[in-house]
Amino acid sequence: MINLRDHHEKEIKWKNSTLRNVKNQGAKIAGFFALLFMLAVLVSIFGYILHGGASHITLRMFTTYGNTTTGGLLNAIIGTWLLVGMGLLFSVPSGVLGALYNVQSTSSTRIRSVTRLFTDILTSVPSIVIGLFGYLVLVIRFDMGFSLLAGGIALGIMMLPYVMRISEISMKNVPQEQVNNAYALGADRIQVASRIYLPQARAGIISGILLAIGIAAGETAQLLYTAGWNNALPSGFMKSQVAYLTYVVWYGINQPSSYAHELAFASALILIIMVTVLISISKFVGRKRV
Amino acid sequence: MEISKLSVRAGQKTILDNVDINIYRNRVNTIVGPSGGGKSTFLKCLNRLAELDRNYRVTGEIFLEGKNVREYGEIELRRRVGMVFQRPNPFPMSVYDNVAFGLRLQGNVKKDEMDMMVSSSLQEAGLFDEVSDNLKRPASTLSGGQQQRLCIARALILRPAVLMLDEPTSSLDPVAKGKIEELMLELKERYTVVLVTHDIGQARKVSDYTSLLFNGKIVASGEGKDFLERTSDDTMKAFLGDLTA
Amino acid sequence: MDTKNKIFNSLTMVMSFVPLFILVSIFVFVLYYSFPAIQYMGIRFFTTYLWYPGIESRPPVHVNGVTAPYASSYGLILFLTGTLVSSALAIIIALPLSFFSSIAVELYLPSRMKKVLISIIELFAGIPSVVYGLWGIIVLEPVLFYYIEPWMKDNLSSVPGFAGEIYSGAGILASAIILAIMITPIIVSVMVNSFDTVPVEIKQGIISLGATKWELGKYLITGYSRMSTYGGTLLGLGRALGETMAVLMVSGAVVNVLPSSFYSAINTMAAAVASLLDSAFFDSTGMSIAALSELSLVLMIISLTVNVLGRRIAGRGALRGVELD
Repeated sequence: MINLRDHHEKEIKWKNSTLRNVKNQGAKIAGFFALLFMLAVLVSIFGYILHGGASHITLRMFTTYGNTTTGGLLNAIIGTWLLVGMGLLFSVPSGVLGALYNVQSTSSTRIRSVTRLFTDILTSVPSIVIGLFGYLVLVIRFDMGFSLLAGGIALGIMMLPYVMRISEISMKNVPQEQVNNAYALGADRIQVASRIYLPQARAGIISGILLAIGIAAGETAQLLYTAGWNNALPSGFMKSQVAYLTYVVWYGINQPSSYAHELAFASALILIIMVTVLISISKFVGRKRV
Repeated sequence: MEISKLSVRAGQKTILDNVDINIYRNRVNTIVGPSGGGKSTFLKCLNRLAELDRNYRVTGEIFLEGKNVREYGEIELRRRVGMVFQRPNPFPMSVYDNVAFGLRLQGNVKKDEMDMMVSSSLQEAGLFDEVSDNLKRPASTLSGGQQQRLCIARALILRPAVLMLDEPTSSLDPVAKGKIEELMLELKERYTVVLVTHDIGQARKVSDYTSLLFNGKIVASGEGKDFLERTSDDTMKAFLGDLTA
Repeated sequence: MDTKNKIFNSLTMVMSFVPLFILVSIFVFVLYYSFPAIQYMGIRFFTTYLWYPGIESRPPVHVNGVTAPYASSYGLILFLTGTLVSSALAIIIALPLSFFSSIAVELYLPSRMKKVLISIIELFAGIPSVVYGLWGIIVLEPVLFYYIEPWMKDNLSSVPGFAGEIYSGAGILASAIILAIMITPIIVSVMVNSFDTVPVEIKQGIISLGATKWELGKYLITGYSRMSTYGGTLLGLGRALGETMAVLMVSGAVVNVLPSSFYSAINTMAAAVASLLDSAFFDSTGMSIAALSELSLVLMIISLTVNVLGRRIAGRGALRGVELD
């Protein structure tokens, strides 16, 4: 038996509380500095791009085609949207319908959890690996050439998991009673999907799509060897190269011409505004649903 | 402990309004009252936990052993004023590590000393015999009542002067509740106990000094277990009537 | 079910398998296109750092049944080193930043500021890689070249890796810093989210035992939320390993020269694939492309392993600031 008296009479050597308080203050200061550093970097990135972009951007850049060192950005702006649009054509049907299956299916949950896991994993495939895959398979094997189709699909591969998983999450938030009621009233799967899931989860699906667009518009590595570059607009879906904004940033800043730098900054400005606005709207739309 | 003119406001709302109470050494000091009457906030003022909530404005004086609690550092104050919460909150670690947590935080103690302190704290909390076969088991495997006694042991290892219990039995079954009530009677031999409860029966069983806290005000207080019966205070009667009706 | 619904059901089922199908095809095709390089280089792919396209004017050589340019060599050591060193350094920089930021957000700042700061930190997720790279070139590289690296060289030269020639701001340090800035928001977001799930009873219990906020924070990071700490770190590492454009722009994109100090130019696996693929088109034997495929294959295996582990351990996925499950 332990003697309780020991417990009460033994002197305990306490840690120095001043030292502990000093460490606490130190951590607090370190915390503020860490946050301040990150904020400073953010301000620096946005500041340099906004300032550098805004001081060089001209109306002519929005109205003329260019080749990354001369001319404008119109072909790159349109090309970016064409590629993103192609990515949407590829990813939205698959993403939304796949999400519907994941919430509606009554079959084995194990299979669905495997497909879900692979959907998540797909987001972490390095973008250049998707680019290489696009080059080897789409450009060469399927003989699409550097093209809207190849670039769009490469972007779509990256967009798909975002669309599918976010759609699925918002569909899961649809009250199950509504779904059960609909089935009880004799509705079939198509009707439950089109009258319950799609309208109820609309905001969430749109939010996922907007996020996917925002992120895709800022991607480069998938497109380097699938979309190529075009001083004008592509003439078709296949075998005709496409210009895009991120290429101007990457290529332009490495050119010895000051106008190329200006174009790079202008492109970066357009990109950062576009992406930030799209992601913010996506967050806003997504939040309204909850 | 002496508490004088303790008030707590959160925005426009007054949670505690000019509370004056004495806490007597080696007694069970009980605060009874309906839920939402400010009882928990009162306890959190005693170890200055209430100040952590930036919405709270705490005014008034609280003295521990003649010294204002603001003059103690937070570290030292919380060492002297232990607290047990309404719902058992064992940390996700072993029984041993739970009890040792506070002392590892606050003291420089050697391994064998620590073993001894952990065991004796568990013993004081009446839990030692039930867990001594394996102190390494996760605390989550204990029953609710055992977990609450574990939390008491965790507070006791710092050898506090005052042990505050915030409705310690409200989430427990009658048997576990009975054990904790007996424990309180044992603990007051060595500690000053402050008990907050809305359970009048519990106050009758264990209380030495009872105060009724109603809408942030102390409306009645007095000595002895039968204080509640003797009281002539209208609010107290209404409160008791509410509960017995 | 009638026919219409059966078709609908099958269609949605097929669609739900598309991501799995794509992932498997990426793996299979990249593996398939790597075969010539695996045949040609064998184990040497993992032991040499030389990446040399060969001499085109000489007739190609035939080895193990495959054709390769004369005297060509393809080894991943340099790129693997670049990837691992820059990512490891990035983690070393990002971890303290993330820990202290997330503790400050969680414990030291009023909860009103928390929401604002979280949405500000989420802005990082929307910055395209090339914009990070652009900022790296115009801001980070000059700062490193003119101020930080000379200072380090003067004051830290006794520490291994800090002595050596400074050629330009581009290199290991620049890459690591850019990567650290890109992954800190990921780690912070995972950590702050996990702090939010800690029951308030646990936090109050620890404070009531006399812990300072720093001690509480330490316990959350290394104790209660440690799985999120590991998971968030792995997710950040996963992002760093696979990052292409930003690193391509600030690494110096060197080939065949092993780094000698933290100031040296490097190349990472991802950046190497991006920068070497266009010249590989001109290799008539196709061996360069095969070698880059093998490099991508290794990169993908490393990156996916780290990401899957991170997701498993963190207990949830995070798609660039968007919470899943």
